[in-house]
Amino acid sequence: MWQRFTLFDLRVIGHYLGMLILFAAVLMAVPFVTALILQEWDPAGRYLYSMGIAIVVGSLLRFCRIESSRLNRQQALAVVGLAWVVLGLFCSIPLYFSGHYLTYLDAVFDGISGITTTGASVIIDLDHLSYADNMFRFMMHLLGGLGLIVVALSLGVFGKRASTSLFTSEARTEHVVPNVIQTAQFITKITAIVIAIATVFMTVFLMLDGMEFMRAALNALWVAISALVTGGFTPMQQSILYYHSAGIEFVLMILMIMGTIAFVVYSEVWKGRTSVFFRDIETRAGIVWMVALAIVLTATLSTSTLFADLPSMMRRGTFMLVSAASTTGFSVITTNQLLTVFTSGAFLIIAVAMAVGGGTGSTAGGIKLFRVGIIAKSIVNTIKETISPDSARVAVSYYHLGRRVLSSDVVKEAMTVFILYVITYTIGVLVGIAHGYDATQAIFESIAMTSNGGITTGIVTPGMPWTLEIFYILQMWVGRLEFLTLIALAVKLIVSILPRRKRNAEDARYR
Amino acid sequence: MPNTPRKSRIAPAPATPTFTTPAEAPLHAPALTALAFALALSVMLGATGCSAGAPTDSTGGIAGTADEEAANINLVNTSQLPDSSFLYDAQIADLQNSDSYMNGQTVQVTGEVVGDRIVSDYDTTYYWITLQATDDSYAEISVYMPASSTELIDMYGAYGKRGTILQVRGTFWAARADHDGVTELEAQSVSVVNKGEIIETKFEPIRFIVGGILLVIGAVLALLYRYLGERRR
Repeated sequence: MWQRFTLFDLRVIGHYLGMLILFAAVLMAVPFVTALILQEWDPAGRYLYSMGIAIVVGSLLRFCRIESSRLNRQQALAVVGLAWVVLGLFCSIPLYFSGHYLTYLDAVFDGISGITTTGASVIIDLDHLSYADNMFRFMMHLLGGLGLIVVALSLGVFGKRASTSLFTSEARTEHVVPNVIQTAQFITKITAIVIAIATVFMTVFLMLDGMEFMRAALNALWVAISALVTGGFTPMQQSILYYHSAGIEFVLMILMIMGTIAFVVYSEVWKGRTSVFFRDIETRAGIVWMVALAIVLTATLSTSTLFADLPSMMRRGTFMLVSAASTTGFSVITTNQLLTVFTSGAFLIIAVAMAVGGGTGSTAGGIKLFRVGIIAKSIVNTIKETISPDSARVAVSYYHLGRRVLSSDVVKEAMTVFILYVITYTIGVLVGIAHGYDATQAIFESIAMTSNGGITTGIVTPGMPWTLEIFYILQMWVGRLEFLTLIALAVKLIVSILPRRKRNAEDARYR
Repeated sequence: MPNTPRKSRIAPAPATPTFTTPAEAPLHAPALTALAFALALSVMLGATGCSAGAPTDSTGGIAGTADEEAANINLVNTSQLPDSSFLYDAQIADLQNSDSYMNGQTVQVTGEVVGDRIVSDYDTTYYWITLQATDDSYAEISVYMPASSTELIDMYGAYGKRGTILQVRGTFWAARADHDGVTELEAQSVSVVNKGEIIETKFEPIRFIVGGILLVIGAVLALLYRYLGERRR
C-alpha cells in the first residue's frame, strides 16, 4: 500500500535539495555585499564562510544525480517538505556566529521562523545587530514568503525540466498563467513593485520623523518586505511600536492586507477583472470575519480600565487585529500590555484571528479563509438537504476564480485540514502546559506557531526549554506546509527507512 | 475634650518610703501597689492623650515651648496633604512586567539610548527615545522627552556603537490615553551617566581566508559537475 522511496528517488531528492542549498548560498551574497559596503567586517567574514559551506554541501549533493531529470509527484513532495527545514538549518549558521543567540538551537529557531514567515524570534539584543545580519533576516522572509519553489522556478534554478509537481506540493494550487515559470515570475514581479512603492513612501515618513537617510531607507525596505510577505520580523526590538508613526502603521496595514490576498486574484485584477476579487468567497468571508472580530474586539476593549478610550482602541486595536488576522506578527503594544492591559476577551480575539489566518495561495498562514468559507457553505448545504424533500437535488455553489459547485471532495479537504489545525493547536497547548506555562499563554503561543502568526506572549524567549523549542519548530514547519504535504512526507520517509533497490516502470518514465 | 497642652513628661513619682527593717515592708505593700497602679494609670492616660490633637499656630506648625517642640519632632503633621508621587528606583525589565499599579508612578531608570531620536506626532517639541536596560535582560522602554533633553545624547546605540547611558526620572504610563495607549516613560529629569563610545572591530583577513577556500572548493565542485554532465551527453 505505501510505496517506498527507491535509491533512485533519494538521489533525485538529494540532487534538488543540493540545488536549493546553492540558491541559499546565492541569497547569502546579499548580506555579504551589504556588509562590505557598510564596512561591517565581522559579518562579511561570517557570510563568506557560510556561503562557502552552503556551496560545498550543495555541490556535493548535486553529484547524487549527474543528469537532470523530471520530478515525479512523490519526489517533489519530499523536496518541498524537506526544503524548509534544510534551508532553515543552513540559514542559521551565520546567525549563530553573530553572537546574538544563546544556543545553536535558538539560531535554528530563528532560521526556520524566518523561512516559514512566522516572525517569532529568540534573538538577543536585536538593536545592536549589524545591518548585514538584519538584511539576511529579511531575505529569509522574502524567500520563504514568495515560496522557495516559486523563487527557484522563477530564476530557473531547477532548469527547463522542472515540473508543476513542485508548485502544487508547496500548498499552491492555482495556476495564475498557464506556464508555471511565468506564474512564478509574475508573483515575483508583483512583490517587487509593491515593496518598492511602499519603501519609498515609508522612507519619506521616517526621514520626516528624524531618521537619517540610510537607516530610514533600510528600515522602510525591511518592514515593507516583512509586511507584504506577512513575516513579522522587524529590525528593532520593539517591533512597529518603535517608530511611533501612524503613517507607517497605515502603510503597513495596507501591505499586510495585500499579503493575505491570493496571488491569482492579483493576476485577474491586473487584467482588469476586478469583479473576481469582490465576488471571491475568500474576500467575502474575510470581510464578514474581520467586521465581526472588530466589533467584538471593540466591545471587549471598552471594558478595559486603561485601553477604553476610542483613539487607543482604533489605533492599537485595529493594527493588532490586522497583524493577527494576516498572521504577520507585528505589534504596536508591549507583551505586558497584551497580557495585563488588554482584556482576556481581546487577548482571545487576537488568538482566534491568527488561528483562522488569511487567504489560500497567499503568504498568510492559519486555517485559511477559503476553508472557513467552504465549511460555512457546507453547513448551508446540509441544512438545505435536511429541509428539502427526498426527491430534491440540492446544489450549493461558490465563487473562487469562477463559479463552482460545492463538491464533497472540496468539503472533505477543508474539513480535514481544519481538524488537523485544531488538533495541532491542542497538542501545542498540552506541550506548553507540560512545561509549566500558564494555560492561556500556552494556547496563544501554540496558535501563533502553527498559524505562522508570530505574536508571542513571553514563552518564546531566549533560554526557553529546548524540548518546547523543538516542538514549536515542528509546529512552524507543519503550519507552513499545511499538514498534508508534511504528513505524506513523514509516512513516505518512515516506510522508506529501507529504500527499495529496484526501480519500477514509473521511475523509468521520469528518468 | 478641650485642647490643653499635652504633658509629655510623666508626673514625678512620689518619694518611695524607706523601710528600717524588712519586717516593716509588708506593712506598706498595699500602699505600694496602689501607688504602682496610679503610676500605670497616669502613664496610660498620658500616652493616649487627653487632647485629640496637637494645637497649631497660625502657620500650621505645632505650638508650644521650645522644649516641647523638640520633643514633638517625630509627631505626624496631620495638616500636610498626601504626596502620591513616590519615587521608585526601578529596572526597565520591572516596568515591562509591571501591573497597572505602577501606572502614573514616578520612577527612575538607567539605560542605554539605542536606535534613533524620533519626533513625536503629538508635540513636535518632544521626541521618542528608546532606552535599553544595561543588565542581561535587554529590556526596553520608550521615553518621551523634550528636545532640550535629547541634546544630552552624544551617541545612539547600534552595531559597533554603545549609546549614551542616561538616568531618567519621570512618570511611567502603562497605557497613556492621550498618546493612544502607548507604554512610555514621560521624562521629567534626564542626566548622563556615561557617554557613548565606538566599539572598534578590526579588519581581520583570516576570517576571509576560510570562506575564500570554501568558495574555491565549491567552485571546483561546480565545474567538475558541469564537466561530468557534458561528458554524459
